[in-house]
Amino acid sequence: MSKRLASIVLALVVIVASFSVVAGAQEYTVKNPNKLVVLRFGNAETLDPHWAYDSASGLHAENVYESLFQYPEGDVSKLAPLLATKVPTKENGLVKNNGKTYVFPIREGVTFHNGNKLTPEDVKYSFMRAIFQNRVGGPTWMLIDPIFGLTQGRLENVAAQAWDDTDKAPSTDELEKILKNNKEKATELYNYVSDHIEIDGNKVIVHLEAPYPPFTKILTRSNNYAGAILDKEWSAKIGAWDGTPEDIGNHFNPDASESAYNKLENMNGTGPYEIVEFANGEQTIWKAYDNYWRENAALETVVFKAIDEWSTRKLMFLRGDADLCTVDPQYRQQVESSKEIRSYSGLRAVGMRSFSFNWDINLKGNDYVGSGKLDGNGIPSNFFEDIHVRKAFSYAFNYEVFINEVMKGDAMRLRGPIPAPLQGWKLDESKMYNLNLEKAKEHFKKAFDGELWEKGFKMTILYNTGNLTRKSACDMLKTYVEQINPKFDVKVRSLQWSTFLSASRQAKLPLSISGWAADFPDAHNFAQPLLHSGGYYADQRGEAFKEWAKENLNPKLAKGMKILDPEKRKEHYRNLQEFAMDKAIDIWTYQGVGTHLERKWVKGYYYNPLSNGYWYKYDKMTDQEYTDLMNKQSN
Amino acid sequence: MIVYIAGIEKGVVIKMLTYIARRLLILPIIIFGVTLIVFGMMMLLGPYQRLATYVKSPQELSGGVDMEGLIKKYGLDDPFHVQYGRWVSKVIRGDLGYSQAVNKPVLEALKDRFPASLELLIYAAFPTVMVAIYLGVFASVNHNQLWDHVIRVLSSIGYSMPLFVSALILLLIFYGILGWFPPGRLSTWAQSLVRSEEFVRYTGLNTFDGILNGNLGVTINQLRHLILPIISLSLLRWAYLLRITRSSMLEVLRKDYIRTARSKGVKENVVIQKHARRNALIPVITVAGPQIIMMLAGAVITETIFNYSGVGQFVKMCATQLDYAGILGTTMYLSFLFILTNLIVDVSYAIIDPRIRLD
Repeated sequence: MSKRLASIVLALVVIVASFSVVAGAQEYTVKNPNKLVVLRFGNAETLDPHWAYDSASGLHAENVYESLFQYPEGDVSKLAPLLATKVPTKENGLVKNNGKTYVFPIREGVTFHNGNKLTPEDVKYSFMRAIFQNRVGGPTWMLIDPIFGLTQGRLENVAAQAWDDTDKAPSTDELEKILKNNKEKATELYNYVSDHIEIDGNKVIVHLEAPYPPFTKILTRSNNYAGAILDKEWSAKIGAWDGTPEDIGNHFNPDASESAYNKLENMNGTGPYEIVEFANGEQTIWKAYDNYWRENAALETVVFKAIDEWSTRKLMFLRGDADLCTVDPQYRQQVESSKEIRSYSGLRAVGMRSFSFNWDINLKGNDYVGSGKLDGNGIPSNFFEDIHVRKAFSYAFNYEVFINEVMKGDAMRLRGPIPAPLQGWKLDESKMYNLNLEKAKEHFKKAFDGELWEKGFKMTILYNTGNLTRKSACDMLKTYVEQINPKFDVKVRSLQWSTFLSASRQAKLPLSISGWAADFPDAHNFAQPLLHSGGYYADQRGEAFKEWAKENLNPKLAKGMKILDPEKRKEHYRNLQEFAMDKAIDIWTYQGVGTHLERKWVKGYYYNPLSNGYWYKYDKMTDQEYTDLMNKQSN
Repeated sequence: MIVYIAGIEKGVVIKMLTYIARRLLILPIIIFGVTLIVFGMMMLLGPYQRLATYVKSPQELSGGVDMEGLIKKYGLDDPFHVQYGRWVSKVIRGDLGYSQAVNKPVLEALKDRFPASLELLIYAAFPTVMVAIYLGVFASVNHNQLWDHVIRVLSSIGYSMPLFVSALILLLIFYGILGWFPPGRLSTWAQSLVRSEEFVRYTGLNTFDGILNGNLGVTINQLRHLILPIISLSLLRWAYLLRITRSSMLEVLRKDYIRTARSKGVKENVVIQKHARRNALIPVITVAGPQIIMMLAGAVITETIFNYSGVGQFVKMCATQLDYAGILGTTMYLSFLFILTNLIVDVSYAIIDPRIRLD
């Protein structure tokens, strides 16, 4: 009996021990070894790179089309050649004529996906096509501005230059009619644009009307595709602009549906991947291009799935049915705890968020300004024109708590309109506002020569419904402002996005959170829209701001574009940063910091703040490599 | 032969056909009436508000959007009658407009997604109705006995549980933990295969097309992806139909003619199936029709959670992005389905209960 019992016990021990051995040296398998599965949400508006101006469309274009330059391994402070063989600088002689002439030597041996060879003619055609297409609200102003010396310019302004009629540019509709019906004017415009872009052997030479230091950054593969290079011959074949003056009018300002390049079968770039399947809002499949001019991509297939529902995305990610997944900050903890998921945090987004003051509020039918007068029951139209009011509000926000508690550390202090790491961003911390209710009180007492303090005010701050981060920021501002004087009454209200859009455009929002994301990594891309009297935010801030900016900001901005020396530009923009902070043009709140999450079997990731998703460098571990990693982790 | 069709008299058949013809004739008027109301409601939003179709998020504002240019381009500030007239004239030409939500024509989007929803409907609706009727009859026959209580409890649970809760629980257990039934319409390999030129789309329904193309792998893959959405979608409707069936049966079983049939020695099975059930089905049919259409049109939550690319998911995208072309297009499509279903329900009454006249 005892022998039998001993045998049973021994057997059990052996079995348990073997389980332990097995558990300690577990085998792991990499799912979908030659495929990358990416989960995100959102629909692409277009497949046409010159039409695209949203991240979902950009994601689709980025791996198929290429530009002349790229950022080396995500370092946006430098450029590296891509379809051009050299990055033009003054030192290498490829930037000439005081920064008004750029020479781009074009790489040989590059083919498009249809087998056609890349030539300088394709580059010239692509630039011209982008300029002539210039759809309303699109990205190609980025080519028009530097080449023709304009500010957020349109083809209408270029046409006015071409026809020597700069006093009155035609409207968009008028231009379309002229281009379709007036061959002479169309040819004049064509020649004017063509003269700015020359071909000399294997070089493309672009002549600018005025120096534009960030010009090469616009032609860099990133989140803008104004510089995407297309095949001229192919374009004519598929019904895109055929390269002639007569055809310009047929392709000017198209709807998304009207663009020939918006069709899957017409996509044709030089990039490492081709899209083989596209079901918008569902799934996109890229396949590696076999004849890519660099080493072929490591992963044969990339599958992108658009899944709005977080629960579904999360389960797929945790099960390993997806390799990369977009995760909202509030859900990150749900996946980060998994031992099979790796996270890279502290990734600075090149963008900014601020509370925007409206210096000239439209009081007509406006529910957010109370009585519309400085009578204790409302605010007047010029409430935020008074610098003391703006400074007071700037001192009444708890930046640190907002970043640490609301943003959970996924943000950093913004030091002015220019975010890190762009030229001049690093304003000394001593010059920034911090929560200081005493100073806020001081400024409120000075505002409107003391009348504001005596009478008090009532107003509403607005945010778009569903944006809880913005709600928290508004609530915080309300709390601190109301603490300063019991006569101060601040309401916080949400608006549906459509209503918010409408109110914003009609300058009815006294104070709202808004932001700007980089088109290209240069201080000018932030300074101009945020500070110029003709910049995007000027309309929101009203005529009073525009008048003030004309005198106080525009000259500084113009000067910045004439400085070619990088160090001097940096110093100049730092001074501008300080000025914008000192004048409290906005409550410069925060710059986002993100996190990238991936399965641990993924290799090759590097952070590029201006990329929507670039698959070229991605790879996956073998089963053995992954097993070793996971077992090492367990031990 | 034509005198009797399925046991119905010639006069009734003619009346039925006349009735159907009348209903079909007023169908376009009803549809346009509905769209006029929906269009009118959308026009209560100002041009800048309706611009949200084209400028979808605050991030896009960062790109320096020319709002006035877009409003002019898309005619958002044209008078009501101009905008509605523009839309109607396009519809008459078969153009339901362009959906900004999915970046394709609305008609194409509906055509792409309709088979998915239809497939879900076929596998969800008929078993749901059949099972609900069977169990409802069974429960009523075993009134106040154990099985009646069990079925009533289960139906209460099914009826009470919100759809999104049951869907998420199913997804968590059967996919998240067990990995048996993944979300989506098909796996990636199957999706690529059915979209390839080698695969012939006979019906648009992957389960049938898989068989017809001699590729059972596709059929099995589709069924695997359908199981959770079917269960989720059916649960609420099954419970509701079961309760209606049971109540209706109990009422019918108390009727004098049932007592008479039993006293005449008719077998209980015949009493239930031939005499009681047929009459009890009238209220069930009344609700079953719209319930089935709700499955087709309203599977928004199910399709979203299971990432099933049907009409419900499209409706959700259009609604959240204020895509008014998509909203109007799907309104027309749903109106048509509702009217057609109601017509089928009305005709079914006459077939089931000869006492009902289609005057």
